Amino acid sequence: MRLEISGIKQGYGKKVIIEDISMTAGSGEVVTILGPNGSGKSTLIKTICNIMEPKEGTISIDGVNIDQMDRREFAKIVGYVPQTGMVFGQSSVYDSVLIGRRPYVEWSYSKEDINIAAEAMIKMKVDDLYDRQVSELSGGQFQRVTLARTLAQSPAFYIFDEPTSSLDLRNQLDTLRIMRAMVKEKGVCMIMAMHDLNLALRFSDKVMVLKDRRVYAFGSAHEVITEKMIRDVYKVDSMIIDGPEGRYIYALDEDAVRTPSGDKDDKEEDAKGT
Amino acid sequence: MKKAVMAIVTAVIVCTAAAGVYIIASGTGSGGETDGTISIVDGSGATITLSEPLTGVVTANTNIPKAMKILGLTDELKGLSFYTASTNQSNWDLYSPLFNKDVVHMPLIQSMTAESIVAMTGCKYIICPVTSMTITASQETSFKEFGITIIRLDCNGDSALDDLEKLTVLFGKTDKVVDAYDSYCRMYDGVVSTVTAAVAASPSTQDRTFLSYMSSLHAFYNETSAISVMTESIYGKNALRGTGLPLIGPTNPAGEMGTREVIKTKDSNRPIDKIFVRGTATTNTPSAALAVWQNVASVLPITGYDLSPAKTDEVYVFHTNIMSGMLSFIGYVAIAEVCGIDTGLSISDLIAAFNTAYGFTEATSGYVFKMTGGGTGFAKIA
Amino acid sequence: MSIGGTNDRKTLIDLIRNRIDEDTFEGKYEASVRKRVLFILLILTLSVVLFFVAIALGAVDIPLIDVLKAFGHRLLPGVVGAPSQDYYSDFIFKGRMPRMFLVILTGFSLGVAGMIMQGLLRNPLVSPFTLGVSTAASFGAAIAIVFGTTAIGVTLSGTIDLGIMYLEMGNILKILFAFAFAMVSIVLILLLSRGKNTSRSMVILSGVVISYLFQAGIMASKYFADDAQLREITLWIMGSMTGATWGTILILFPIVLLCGIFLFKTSVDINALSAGDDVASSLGVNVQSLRKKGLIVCTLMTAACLAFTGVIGFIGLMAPHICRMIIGNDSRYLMPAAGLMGVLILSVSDLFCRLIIRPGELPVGIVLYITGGIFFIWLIANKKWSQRI
Repeated sequence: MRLEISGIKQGYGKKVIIEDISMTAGSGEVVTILGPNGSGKSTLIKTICNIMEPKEGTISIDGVNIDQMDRREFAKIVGYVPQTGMVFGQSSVYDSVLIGRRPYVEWSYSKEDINIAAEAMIKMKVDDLYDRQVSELSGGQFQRVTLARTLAQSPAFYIFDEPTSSLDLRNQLDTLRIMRAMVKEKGVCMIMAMHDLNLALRFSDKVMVLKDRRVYAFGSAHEVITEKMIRDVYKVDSMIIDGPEGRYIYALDEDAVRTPSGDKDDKEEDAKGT
Repeated sequence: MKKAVMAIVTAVIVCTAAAGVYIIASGTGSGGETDGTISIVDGSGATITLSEPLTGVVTANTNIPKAMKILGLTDELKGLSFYTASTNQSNWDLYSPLFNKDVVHMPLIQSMTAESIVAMTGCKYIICPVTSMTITASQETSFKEFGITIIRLDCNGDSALDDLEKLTVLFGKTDKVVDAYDSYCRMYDGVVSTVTAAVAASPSTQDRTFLSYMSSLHAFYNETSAISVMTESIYGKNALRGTGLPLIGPTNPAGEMGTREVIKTKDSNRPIDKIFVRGTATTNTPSAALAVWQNVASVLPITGYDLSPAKTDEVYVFHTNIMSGMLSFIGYVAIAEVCGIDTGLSISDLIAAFNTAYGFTEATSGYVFKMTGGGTGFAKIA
Repeated sequence: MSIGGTNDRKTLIDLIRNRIDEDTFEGKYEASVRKRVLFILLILTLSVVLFFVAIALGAVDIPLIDVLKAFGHRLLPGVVGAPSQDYYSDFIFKGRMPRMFLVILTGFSLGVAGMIMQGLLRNPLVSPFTLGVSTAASFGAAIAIVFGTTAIGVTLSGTIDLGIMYLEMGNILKILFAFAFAMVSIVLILLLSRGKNTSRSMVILSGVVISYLFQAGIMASKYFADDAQLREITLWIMGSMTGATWGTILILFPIVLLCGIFLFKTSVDINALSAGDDVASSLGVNVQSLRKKGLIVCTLMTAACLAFTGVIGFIGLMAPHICRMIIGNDSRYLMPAAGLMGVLILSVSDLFCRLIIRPGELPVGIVLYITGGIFFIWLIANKKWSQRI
């Protein structure tokens, strides 16, 4: 399947957040949207998921404009994972994950629905928490439950808004590896908005960078994520280093994002020359 | 330690303030200020002391204008008000022709300040009902501070004659006023004693029961009410006796299921003989009486049309004016008449005499109605 | 764990009878469903028992045998003899049964409406009461009581006998005005909070504002009222079930039934809404439409009942809370549970009100306020539960 967005303009009231945004994403691809705070990543994500109607532009799936699609049918194709999940009331993990089956359900859950939800929980390693109240979970556990819910939704396109923001290092890597494996094995597509450039570099096939309300660059991860891009968009000097499993970004500016291999104390010592 | 001291100081301040408020609010309680030659205890139990007789008064009470007219005090009513917009106007329309043309039509009493009352009428005395809420507590306090005396008199029910007497005292017990009072008492007592004698001469009705209903409040009168006492002096016993219904006020709501059930039970064990309904000021035609009865029935899905009196056309509707107020002595005659007691008195003649004596223009008929045709209509009796 | 399979749905009997294999996820899920269904059946049973207890007890206690005879004689007059007193049938069929049905319809409406409103606005403190619907209905009743038909420029009075019920003009007006203003309030709330995003906080804030406005109107009506009218307004605001007639039930039953069916069908969408507006939208739910329609239907249902009963508070808050604590958030089960819990709470309260000073009775609002207050104090004090809200 192919998702195509063309000439998207979006904003709140009279304020324009993003304009003239175009990109494509297809089955078997991991596409990451990068950009500094306030660049419109979340807005673009919500527009792609049809949570907000674009002020201009079109979004189509395999040539069909999503405006012409039934909401439920669209929900079977595109799944959204928010940055900060929430749940109202007393909900067990099981119930929360089953909510993801909503596009397929009229009233009662079938065996298939239950089994799909169970598989999703096992995949996201929250199966042993199935009867726990969601409000009692840690941040990381809760994020995994949210991901499990979207897995249960079984869409063709997974749209993530900061999927790793509340996860620890271990869980960040596990989650992205699981999602990437799903993309490659099942042929789904993952579109995620992220801050972490290193994770983007490591796990993405394509990257789109937003700057000043527009697309700065869109292409393969290695082509787009360059020292020049980081300087232009993030105003940070950096070095991209080849490592054992790929390339890594090392920020030269002290205010920049920490890298997995970086260490602030070492840097200070280096700077002081001790 | 410091906290404890602060807590104690705060408590002392609060208690002192509360005590101060209490003292100021309770005030003299009577409205009177100095030793005077005139003193009464009004309907609320407050002592009213005046240094000289009243020469003028404003009123927020429907019965006072009638009472004053009876006492010949047509020049002494300075201002007339009430507390609902519609009745304020209707009372004005009804009473203003009976009094001096200088009487002022005052706005709703709740909207009046002490200064506005004095400015409009030049009067510092106001008569309010005892039980009804006319002026608010804060109005009362400000009136008293301004020097306005509030006198509470109902002039209806069982206190009608006593309150009339208190009015004579307040206005100085002049010969004219005392003569008018005595004349009214003679008329009132004369009628009541004639009825009482006729009752005594008739077969006993102590084993009979009746229900007495107030249509405006959708409630039954219990044995503590003045109307029930009046009725029991003529006919039978109130059917609410012995039912266990709470006697908190003079009435019990008819809409409550428990009230309906105990009445129905009583009626089933021993049929109730009569139902007396007190209508409104507009219950002066058979169709109005029917409307009042249908109102009663709509509130009583069990008992309305199923009670024994309703099956035997023993339902009577009375105009409110003869059940309470200055014409309440007519109520005695009306009840006696519908209970088959020959008093030798005619309601229309009595009212005509009342009109002649005091210059009223009350209608001489349209006060008593009896159910007919199994509840399909009512007929005028008097 | 089995994968895939057919859509075989179990019947209710199967669910209760069959052994559940809790080693499988399907088994675990069925166990939780069974727990929910059993809870619903429990409160249904209690409600039915209480229905018959309320029929039997009152100002006059009717022996159980006579209750059964009354029903039997009504259904099979040739087979079952009449009860020992002829007025027992009157009490049951003209007084207590319509009253109990009014209790059922009102308790159910308030429980369901409270639950749905809380789900739509994701706020556990929302109810028809807190959104100002009750205040608006009180205002309507107040101006009908004080000003009568002159409030709409005409003067009508009298009573119409329809055979099955009496329509007394003052009463009709009170009912119509209470209902009308309750609906006006929700329309105003939705207009005030309108925009492309009917945001939850704007809806709640608008509800508070509207409530204050109507409260001012009630105070103004009281200012112009005489004693009898003031008492009537006060009693209306306290709420009671004394206005129950078969005519009342005839009007309310279709309204509650249709609204209930509509709301029941939104259960799955309400579940999705618990995960947030954005997530629900991405799951195919039209959030704005659901919220608007849901609020209007909830208001319609409760306004219809409140027009006849006056203000009945706290059920919309208590019933969903209690059920949510026991069976969780799944609206498909929570809705009937909250409705039945509302019936149970109101049944107990109304019975208490009828018995405590019998043959007199207390307005049911008094008992509900006390019960509601105690319930919430316990909730706040009990850390385990308060954290779950």
